[in-house]
Amino acid sequence: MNIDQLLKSVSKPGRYTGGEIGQIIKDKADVRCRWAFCFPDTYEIGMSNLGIRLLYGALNREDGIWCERCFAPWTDMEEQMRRYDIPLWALESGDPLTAFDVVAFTLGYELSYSNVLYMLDLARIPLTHEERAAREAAGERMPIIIGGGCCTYNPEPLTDFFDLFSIGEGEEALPQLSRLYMEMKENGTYTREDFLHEAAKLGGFYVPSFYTVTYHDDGTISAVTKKYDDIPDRVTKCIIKNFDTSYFPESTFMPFIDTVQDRVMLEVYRGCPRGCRFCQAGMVYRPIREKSPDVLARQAKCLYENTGYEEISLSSLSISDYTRLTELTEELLSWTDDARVNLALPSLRADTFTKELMERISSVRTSTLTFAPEAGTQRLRDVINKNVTEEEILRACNVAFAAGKNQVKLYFMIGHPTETREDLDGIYDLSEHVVHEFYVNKRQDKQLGKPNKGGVQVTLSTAAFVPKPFTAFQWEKQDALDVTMEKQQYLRGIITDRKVKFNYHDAKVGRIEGVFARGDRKLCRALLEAHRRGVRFDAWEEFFSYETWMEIFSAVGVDPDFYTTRGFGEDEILPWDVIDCGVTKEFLLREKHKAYETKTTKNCMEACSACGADRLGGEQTWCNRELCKYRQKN
Amino acid sequence: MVQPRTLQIQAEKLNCAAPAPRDTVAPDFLMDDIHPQSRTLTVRLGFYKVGRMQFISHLDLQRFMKRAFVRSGLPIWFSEGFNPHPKMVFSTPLSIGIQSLCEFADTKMTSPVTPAQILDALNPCMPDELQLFYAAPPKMKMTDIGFARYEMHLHHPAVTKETGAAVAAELDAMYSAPLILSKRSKSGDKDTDISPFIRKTETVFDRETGNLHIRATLCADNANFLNPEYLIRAAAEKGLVFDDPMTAWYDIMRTEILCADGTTPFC
Repeated sequence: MNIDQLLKSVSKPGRYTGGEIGQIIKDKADVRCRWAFCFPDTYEIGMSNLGIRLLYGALNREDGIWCERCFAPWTDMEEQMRRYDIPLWALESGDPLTAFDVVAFTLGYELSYSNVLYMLDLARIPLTHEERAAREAAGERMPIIIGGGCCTYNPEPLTDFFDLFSIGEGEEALPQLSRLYMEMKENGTYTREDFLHEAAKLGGFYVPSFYTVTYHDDGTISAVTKKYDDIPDRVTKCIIKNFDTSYFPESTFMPFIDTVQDRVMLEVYRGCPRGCRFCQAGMVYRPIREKSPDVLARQAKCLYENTGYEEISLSSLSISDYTRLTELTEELLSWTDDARVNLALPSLRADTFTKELMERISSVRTSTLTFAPEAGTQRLRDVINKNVTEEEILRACNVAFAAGKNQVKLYFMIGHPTETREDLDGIYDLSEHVVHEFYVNKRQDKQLGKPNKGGVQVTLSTAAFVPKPFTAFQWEKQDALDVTMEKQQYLRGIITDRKVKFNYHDAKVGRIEGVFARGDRKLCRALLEAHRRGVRFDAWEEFFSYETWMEIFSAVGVDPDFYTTRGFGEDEILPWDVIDCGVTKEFLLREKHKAYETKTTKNCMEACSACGADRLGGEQTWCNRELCKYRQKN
Repeated sequence: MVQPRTLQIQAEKLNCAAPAPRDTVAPDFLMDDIHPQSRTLTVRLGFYKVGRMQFISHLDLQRFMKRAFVRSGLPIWFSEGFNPHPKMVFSTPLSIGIQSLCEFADTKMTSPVTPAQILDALNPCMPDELQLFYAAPPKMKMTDIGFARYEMHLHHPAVTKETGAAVAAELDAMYSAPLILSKRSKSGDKDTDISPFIRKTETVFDRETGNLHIRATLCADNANFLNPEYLIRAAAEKGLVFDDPMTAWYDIMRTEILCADGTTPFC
């Protein structure tokens, strides 16, 4: 087989070659635990993932551990691999995944689940943990399959396929797991079962085969029983206690080919103080932990020097909520302009977007600014606890217009609990007010003799609301498909202003996402059947087929409505109750009830809402008194 | 006139001729070389791009080199527009899947540096398969380029010890006669006689490896550029089809860039 010749026949061969600057090669003789870190989507998407960069570095800095990368081959490569019988390989060594001790998957999106099976199959690794255990018992070498990432806060739809889930932050947990593995291999105590048992006892690791779920006749969960007494009833997520001293890769692999996020990604803080009731990330990454500006500035400089990237993106869930943003941007701007490095601040909130902040990022080349009001009326924004007013949105747009921008993107969700026609009308009204604001601004400019800034474009993007585990809305009914589509059509019908551009997501995608987001173990059958029917790359429009999924659900006897339009009872055992993400169910329930009373909850900076995440510990959090004092001082 | 060792090693590995040695030990750049108005110094870089790097496209290479320059700490010049970026002008296009031992690109520096400084600073920032072997102020204009030399190895089940020599002769004869192929151009695909773009080919059968070895000199100026893949495509007419990487493969190496006279190495 001539691999180069094969690469000449596929699109974007640079996806498969490896050899990037910054990749890590180790001598196999010194390695006792080999990780294949898999991302269940293409190279361009996976290489943009900050989590992979972090964990790749965190594992590889340990002696004895070698972590490599693997991405889902595009379908043209799949065809070649199947034709010529080439098993899926890792990029660094080129070795097939079956040669590894651990095969890890990052699970960030429900629609990537089918790609996990696709990749396991291409790697010729048995799909289910049962079969892997049996094959290993028969003397075959079998990697441990482990999953992590934000989807593992409800890992239940994947439980048949994984040996182990790492819950929460992995920078410290995964090296710890590897050390356990190497120790047990070396002292001869390793068996698959015993290793998984020991891992489950470490905390932060969920071994699905050790928990048996039984159901009522109506399909809801009746009980969860443990196989061993000494494993936790609920698996509590791992967190990094001190974000300043925790590992952060100061060098990273540099893709040769163009990827989605090809820039320095500087994680400023973890968590979010806001508490929007629909948002999973805002809950599961609590408690909030900040990094100090001096640490961030040093890491940014280091990363820049080691990569040569022309842009530094300050990433976190809501960057303008960083308490020391001024200090940090000043520190960075002291050298970035001279180095022609661009500062990017995604995730801006309208209420904290100020003229000063705008000036700091005025070097941003794009003429578009994006805000997310999420709902069209104040009433509904209070229900979802967005805590942004129309005045604040208009003021933020005004700042942008005054600085010469003439395009604004507004993100909304449709299908929030309690939504009415009025709320949909409100979406359009708000967009019209933004348009109006632009022309007021333009008239002022004209009087001041400033240059004409042309026309305005307001892009209105609406996503369909999907209830997610560990949110106040985790019990909610999801809109039925026809309801969502009707709402989309209604909006499309009332938007007559050509300055307002209306975009909406495919409601069918949201429905499948919704099934898996709150799914249980019965969905493993559906995934297996989907794989049998050749489903993969569901996250790609050209491959996603709603009709196929409906056929699959009916073939395996799964009712998608059960997970979506039914809604979950407050006293029901939820599939994800086996996971403890810090935030308590009591808090979420309290939040749900407040939502129905249209009552807002203050953000963590203003008041503690007793969400429960503080019991996980963590320094430099808003739960921390010392920092509160610091904030008062400043 | 010493050829860098790394280039020799790559040429041997690829079983082809190394490009002619250039005057690599150019004198130190002087302030005189700095353009009086722009205060910049144009530097011509010679590099090879082999192995895995053959799969990196032109645009991706540009982006990669730009970042390598930043990492190297060299006084690279940035354009002064709204979107400042280093400028690089490449000599001749190189398709994905074609290796080269002889690529040139021009860039600008803002203060004097010596060739040795450039090579020492930049090479550690690049993979083994993409390395500079030359840096000097440009002696010729990019438009002086006329031809490029290629070496190709073809492995095919139809080429055996018995047939090899005959197939080689057949290919050479085909390349020297009018040869109509569908050629891509700005105005769409059209049937074109590619033989005017072929200056010379020499095809031999290598008994030791069982491969056909084609040496070709093809037009490479702006107006008349022939992608060497066309020679491979034409070989299909003689039964050499490359659709099964288990049994048939080829590689293409650009080994030299020549001036319009067809003999003087470009630099």
